[in-house]
Amino acid sequence: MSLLEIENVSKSFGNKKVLNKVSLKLEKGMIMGLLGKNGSGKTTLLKLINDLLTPDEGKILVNGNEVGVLSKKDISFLPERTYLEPNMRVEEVLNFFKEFYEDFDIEKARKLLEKLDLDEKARLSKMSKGMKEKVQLVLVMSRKAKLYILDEPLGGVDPSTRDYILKTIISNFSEDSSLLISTHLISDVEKILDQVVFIDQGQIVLHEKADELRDKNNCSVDEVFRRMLKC
Amino acid sequence: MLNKLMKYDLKKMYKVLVVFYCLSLILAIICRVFNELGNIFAFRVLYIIFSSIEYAIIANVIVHAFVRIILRFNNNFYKDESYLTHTLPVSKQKLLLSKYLSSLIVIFSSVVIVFLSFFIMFYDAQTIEAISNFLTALSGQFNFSVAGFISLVVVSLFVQICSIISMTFYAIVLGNRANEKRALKSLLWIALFYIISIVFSLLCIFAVSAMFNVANEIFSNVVSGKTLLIVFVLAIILYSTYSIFFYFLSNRAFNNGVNVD
Repeated sequence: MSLLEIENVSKSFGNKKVLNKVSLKLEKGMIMGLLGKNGSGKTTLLKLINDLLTPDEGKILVNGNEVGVLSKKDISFLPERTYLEPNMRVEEVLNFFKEFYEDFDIEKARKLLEKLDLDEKARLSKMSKGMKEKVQLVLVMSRKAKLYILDEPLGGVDPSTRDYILKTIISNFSEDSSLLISTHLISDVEKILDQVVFIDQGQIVLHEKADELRDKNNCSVDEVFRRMLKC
Repeated sequence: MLNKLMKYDLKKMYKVLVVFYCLSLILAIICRVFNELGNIFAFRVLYIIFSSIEYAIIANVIVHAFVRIILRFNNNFYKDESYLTHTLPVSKQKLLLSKYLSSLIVIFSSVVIVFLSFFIMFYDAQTIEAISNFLTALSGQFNFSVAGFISLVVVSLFVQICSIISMTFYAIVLGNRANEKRALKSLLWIALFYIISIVFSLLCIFAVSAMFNVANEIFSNVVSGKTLLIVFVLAIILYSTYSIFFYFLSNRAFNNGVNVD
């Protein structure tokens, strides 16, 4: 059984079809890159998996469960947006996560915050966007989830910190978990990917193992993406 | 989980409301002090100034409570915060119920503060006696006991507030189903539900009073105790029905999925 199964999922906003019969499977222990241009439907797909939107048709199963309370226990989601209440202190957010997620490891979160030079006593309103994103990443990676879903985890982070963030992601998820990363910064993430999925105009146009794709085309995933989607 | 959700909802809503609560109580004490010293002209003037401010604060307590409730519901379920709310391992029913219960607590505490402020400002044996006499006369006019009359008023006000909250929440849920102009659409739904419920309530009151042959009394200046009882009981039944009806509609709509921005 796959950890994540998406079958013929479609989603429209008004007359605009954002996703068109998307099917996808993610096995345990895999790191999958969901790659696409802006507005290709990546975030919509992730929002559907996380119950933030409802599909017009199709089915989504997470560890065999339909999207709901059980699937949310298995997923640790990092959205593109800052969802934390600005008036809260970091330590209050840690306690919030501890209260709601049984698998949240508060000690691990504290260590990660320290490594990233983030003050537990600081208020989120006093932090820059990049710092808030780091706090959110720490929260997400401090859960012992089965599936980690990261939407543009490097979007607001400066290039010098990106490697460190990627290292944090890789070193903090266990081998029996899976990771789904959505990004358009392909060159930054491609070295950690096992599988790549190209999405364009709401449809999956390629789903292949990263190594095989590189060998077949004799170039990087980023290069294949640029050629294929004519960026 | 419901307790935890309510704890955070209340914490967030009370953060600002507590300031108004304190202001209202402090100003009530100040007004009381100036009123006690009212035989001196300067204090009389100060009493007038401070009591005007106090009335504005009291009005603000109630208005602000409603605004906080609506903002909390909208922001927590449909704005950036919703990315956390809807990914918590909690059922949608519990999320919704926590908003209802915490809203009722906020309204209740705000009403208590308003009463307490008035009590501080005006309490003395004479005022209490005057109110008591007024209530005795009023309830006696309709052949009610004072306790029965007050209970009817309080219960009908409570269910009316519940129904307003229910309608507002459902209107926000419907408004946010749209892809654009969500706030405007939510407002239009609120106005529509409120108008429909008032028209329907009036029609029901008229129909039931006609059944009891007291319809003509409804539109006259002299209303008997029986008629007043019919109106109160019917209002309680109707507003309870609206509260439950709109709560279930919100629950169903919410279970069918959200459409986060």
